[in-house]
Amino acid sequence: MKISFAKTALPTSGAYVVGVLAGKTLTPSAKAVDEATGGALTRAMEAARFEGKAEQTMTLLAPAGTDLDKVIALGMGDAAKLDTLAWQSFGGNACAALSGDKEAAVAVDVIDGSPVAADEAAAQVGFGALLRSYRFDKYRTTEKKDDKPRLSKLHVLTDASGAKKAFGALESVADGIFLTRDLVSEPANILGPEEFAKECRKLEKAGLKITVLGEKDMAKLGMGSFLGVGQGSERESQLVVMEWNGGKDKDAPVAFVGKGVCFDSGGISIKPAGGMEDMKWDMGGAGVVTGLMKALAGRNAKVNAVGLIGLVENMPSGTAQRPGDVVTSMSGQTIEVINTDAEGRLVLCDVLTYAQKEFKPREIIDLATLTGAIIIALGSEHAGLFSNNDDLSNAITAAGTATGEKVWRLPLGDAYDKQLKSDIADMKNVGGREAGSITAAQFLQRFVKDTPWAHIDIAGVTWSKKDTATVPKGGTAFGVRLLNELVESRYEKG
Amino acid sequence: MSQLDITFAAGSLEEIASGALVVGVWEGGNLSAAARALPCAADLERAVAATTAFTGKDGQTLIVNAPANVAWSRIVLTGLGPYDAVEETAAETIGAELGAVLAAGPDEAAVLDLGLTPDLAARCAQTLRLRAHRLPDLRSIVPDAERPRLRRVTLRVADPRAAEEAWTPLRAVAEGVELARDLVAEPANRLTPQALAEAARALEPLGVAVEILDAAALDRHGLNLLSAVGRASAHPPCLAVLRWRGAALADQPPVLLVGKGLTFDSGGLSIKPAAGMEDMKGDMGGAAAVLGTLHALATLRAPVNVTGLLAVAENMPGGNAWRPGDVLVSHSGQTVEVIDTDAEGRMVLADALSWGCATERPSAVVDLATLTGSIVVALGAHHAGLFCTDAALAQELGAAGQTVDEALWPMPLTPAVDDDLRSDAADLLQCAPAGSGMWGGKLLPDALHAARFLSHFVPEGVPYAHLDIAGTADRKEAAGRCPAGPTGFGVALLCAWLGATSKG
Repeated sequence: MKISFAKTALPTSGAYVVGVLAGKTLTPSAKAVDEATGGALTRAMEAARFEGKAEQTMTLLAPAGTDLDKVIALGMGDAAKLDTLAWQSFGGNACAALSGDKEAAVAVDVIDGSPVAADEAAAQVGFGALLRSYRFDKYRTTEKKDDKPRLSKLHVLTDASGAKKAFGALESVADGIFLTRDLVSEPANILGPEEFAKECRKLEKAGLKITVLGEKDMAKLGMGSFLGVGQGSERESQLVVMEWNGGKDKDAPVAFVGKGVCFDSGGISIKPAGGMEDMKWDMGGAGVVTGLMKALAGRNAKVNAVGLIGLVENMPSGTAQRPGDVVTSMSGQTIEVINTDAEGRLVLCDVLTYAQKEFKPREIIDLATLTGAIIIALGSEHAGLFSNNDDLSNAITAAGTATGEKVWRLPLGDAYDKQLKSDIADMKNVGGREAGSITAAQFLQRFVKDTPWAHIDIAGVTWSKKDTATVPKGGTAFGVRLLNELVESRYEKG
Repeated sequence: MSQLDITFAAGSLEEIASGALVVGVWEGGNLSAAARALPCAADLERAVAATTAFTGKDGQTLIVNAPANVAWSRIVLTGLGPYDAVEETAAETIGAELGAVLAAGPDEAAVLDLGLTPDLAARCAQTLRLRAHRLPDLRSIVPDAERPRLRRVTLRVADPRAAEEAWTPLRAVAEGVELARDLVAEPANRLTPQALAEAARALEPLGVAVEILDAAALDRHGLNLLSAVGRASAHPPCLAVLRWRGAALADQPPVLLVGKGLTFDSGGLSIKPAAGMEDMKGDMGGAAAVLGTLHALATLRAPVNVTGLLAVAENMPGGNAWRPGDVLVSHSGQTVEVIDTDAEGRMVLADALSWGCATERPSAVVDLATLTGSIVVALGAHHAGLFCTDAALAQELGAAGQTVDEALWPMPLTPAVDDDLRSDAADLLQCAPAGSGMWGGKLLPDALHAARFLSHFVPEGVPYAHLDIAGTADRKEAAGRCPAGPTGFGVALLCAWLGATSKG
């Protein structure tokens, strides 16, 4: 879908979305429609019990006195609560309400009391609409045309002059988000480790430096833990490094590490069949890191950042890793594999070690669809946040609140670490049912030296079963907006 | 249970010489002054030098049996930490570890000569006593070697009166913790709902006003959720109300403490798997903590107004049992659709919260419950989950927990999960149906659901905290001030909190 910006005026064709504030308070554009239609909007609000609450919609078909196909009144709630996210949601809800129309306009009025400037508000409406328009339908070959959304052009009407420029940076973020959603949505027969790496290589055009390590390279580096996970699959494991150097030459980069298990059958500790199809998105962390790197390059972020993703497929076979196996990680620490379905941490630990040795990053943030336990703990409203550094943790929490990609911090501590004690190796790869997400984080922390580090467990937020204002159901790309905001507020301003 | 007798004395060691003597060693291996003054000091020094694992770090112990030239049966060396002052937390660690060592030893009496200040001596005594605590032992034949022997512990201090003064409130808290632990340990055939109500009544001599709403009264007052949970059992449910009015103003709004008191939870018709079901005798840990807290407050004549509610029931299957699909009218008037009869804790608490808020008009509400397996998956055994509607209350409770080694971790309590609790038949679903979660439907944030469910039964504007103690009410291994088994989690925390609020 294409977003464009134009001056406020009652359109002469197509569909038109206007906002109504809480208490049926008409925005100037809504008032203009009401006047042009001889008060039809006001009468319809009465008839439809439309109050102007956020997300409420009401449609007037072919309203008399205009040449419009339809007018959609969209509730905005209280003016004072119209923050950045509310404007985004307004755009997203407008897009959802419009799916049957080919071309449409949405009016973004200056609202007294909204804490967001008018040009920013218009840009956020465009951003929200764009995010909601995403659809992964390449494999629906027989879907009828009528069943597909038709909206191809949305004009955002605003009198503020800076909207288009403000939208530019957001559009780059949306590009990153769409890449992440594509990667997450692709089935595992299409997207294996090598195919994923190929997608990363395409980002060279955007200005990223891409390096791909295969199994031989990783063996040379001693990544026994990572390699063990992939040894049951016929597909070759890959470690992809994506570098963006938009900052000063001498600045150490921030490192983003992602878990990229392209399919996780569980291996020999195989998962139950019910729900196993979801395991195509067990590369969500890697998907987010890839989309984020594209977004940073796209908006020319003034930061040095490196994304590292461990791509692998976890399969049972005659060559697969077994429970009881002991592997040696790149750090030298040995791991007793108790459960081959706790494979994400086995991949991440070697990538974390490599990131520290190779790049000496100022800070490391890893993302992973790591544990089912985090869903039992936090559901799907918050991702789980674990960190060895309060300052970094607070910054991530704040970025989450600002973007609506919320995180909730959970504890780390020696008492939990003890659950990983092994009789034969330096540690086990699982710590039992209790505090399952915490012990997974403890495992990772054993591979982080003094670098400030945060681990975000996104298993509960990577895939959504229902639409929300700016995120259609399916892959959410949770983390791209969050980390883009973190880069902006923490690294680009420093 | 025979209690451990703690005394403080200033006399010379010869006068009280019998049993075990505990003296300190500074980190690095230097004997403390008290140890050096012993005739066998040279032997002790050699023992320390010969034991590389013993460095004098606080909490470490080294036992020297049958020391030469002294009347003591043994000398226990304990690490004091860095020279030359014992820190507050070190005193507590030392006490806890000595509690383990002395309770396992053969002596009836022990003397601690650690040069502690009166305040630290009292703290050390408290953790010692808590760790040494023995649960009810129902064995008809106890092997001699396992019979608890330790009866008396004397701490040598410069000012015994000051130490006694510091000890009095700590002892009251320890007694409350021990009471809670003992109740949790009691099997469900002994600790029935009526027996738990009787345990509440036993607080009357301390000045606690106790009222028991029996099954008929529950029906009369419309506590239909509590009634339903308990109705298939031969031992009917009840609500025990314990009122302590210690504040200068008798009509000052009380703090309301609510405890889940499932004396046994079979799961009802949604019956639990057999393996591990025996642990369900401890599903009244919240009620036990409330009872223990009231015991401590009344013993201390604490200047606070507190009402404790124990929501007591036994959840059993039966021809008369509540069923999945039932719709019940709660005390609050809200209707609840039952999904799983094994999610009974939130039902009994909901009515208790609603009745308590309506009757007592509390200034703040805290409930404690061994509520969900979900919180154990989330936080394990080292933090209880704290769900709170009020930032100041959350902060106070968290801080209180820190001071007594009962850690809380804040968890989200947001409207986001309300969708999951939407019912087609009633105002609220009791819990989210199995299969409605992620990853094949299996993974549900039940602790969040339960907390949010409960918050609907506390009137808006009343600060409310829910403590999910399913992971902390019991422990497999001894550590710190807790032996293995029931911990009494919550008593010390609530006492610390209520003490703090009365000062403020």
